[in-house]
Amino acid sequence: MPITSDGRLDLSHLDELLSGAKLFAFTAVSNTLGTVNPVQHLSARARSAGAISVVDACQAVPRMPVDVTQWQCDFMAFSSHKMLGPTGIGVLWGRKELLDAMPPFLAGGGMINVVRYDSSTYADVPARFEAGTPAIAEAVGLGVAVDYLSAIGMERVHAYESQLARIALEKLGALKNVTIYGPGLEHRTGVISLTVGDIHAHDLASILDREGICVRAGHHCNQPLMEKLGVPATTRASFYIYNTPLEIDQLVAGIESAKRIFKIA
Amino acid sequence: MQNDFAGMDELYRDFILDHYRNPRNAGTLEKPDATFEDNNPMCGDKIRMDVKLRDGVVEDIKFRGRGCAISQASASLLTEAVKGKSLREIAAVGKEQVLENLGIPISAARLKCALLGLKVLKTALAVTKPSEDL
Repeated sequence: MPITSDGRLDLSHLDELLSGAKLFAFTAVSNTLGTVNPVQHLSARARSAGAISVVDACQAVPRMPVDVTQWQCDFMAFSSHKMLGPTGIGVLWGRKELLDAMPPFLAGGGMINVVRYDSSTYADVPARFEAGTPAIAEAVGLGVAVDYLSAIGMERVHAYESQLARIALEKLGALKNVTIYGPGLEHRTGVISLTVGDIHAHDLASILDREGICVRAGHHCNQPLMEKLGVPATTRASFYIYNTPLEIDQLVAGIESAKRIFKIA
Repeated sequence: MQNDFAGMDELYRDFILDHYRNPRNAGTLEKPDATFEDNNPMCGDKIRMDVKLRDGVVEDIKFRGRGCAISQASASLLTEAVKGKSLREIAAVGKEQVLENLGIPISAARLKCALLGLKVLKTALAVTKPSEDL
């Protein structure tokens, strides 16, 4: 799907794109630009075009209240490790009637009902899709992460991250030769991609790393978008509940020191 | 915050930045005898090398690329090092010499950046038809 110059989905040709489509997959929040997409609207558009909607909620679930009954999507998935949980596990939510109609795609322990020489029946959803020994420790860890975030309250998580995003956009935006990608605060989260002069993202990340600042550098599994932005890669600061406004100042100082090393004004 | 590693000023020494901003042997060659382009998919560093050979010796070499300072400076330094060298001498050039040319500490995470130029050059020369001198 095309995007606007400020990094939001350009919906002007959505009807044409959805014509004849069987499935419409989109992200709730961009992992690269931080853009918050109108999930409820996009799901409705998919539905009226006869397409199944699949929402990547990996960036949304950790940072805002999410309600699939409000989104009215058909499928939705998110990862544990983006929401303080362990790696190697995630959640797929799907409409019951769609899941019931789907055949299992992996065979293994725990997913059968009755097995005979000439036929088998499968367990009910979700066991049917969970062949073999599950990632038990990871599931327990994810459960604890869910409880932890729920106890804080997702409204508060969202409010705090928005506050960090506002301060960061203000302070980073005031720096010379720093380009910030993505929309303004009203349409984004605390995922902030930027470039600094002609410093490559990996050089910037190395310098910030030595200052104790952890960022992601690269194309963020999003090479077509990098091409559209006209950059080989960006550096992404991803603020979350464990960050403080003081750390934004440290990031600013780190960027200034990178500029000094690369002799950029 | 300081740690036991070399300081950043040491990693990004002036000559590295100079090679990054003013790469030596930059460009492409008409009808090269050997050419290859490759990239590091994880970071998007990209390098192409064109080589002109005469009697088994690198008569001319040009490279074009984009990426981080380490990858581009390393490729630039490599072109300087191999110009005028025989294929036999270049076959002996390995990771150690590339790192020595750079003369700066390269962390494991940046090793791929530093070695992309060498990988591209070796591949280019490997696919070229063997010269009778060899």
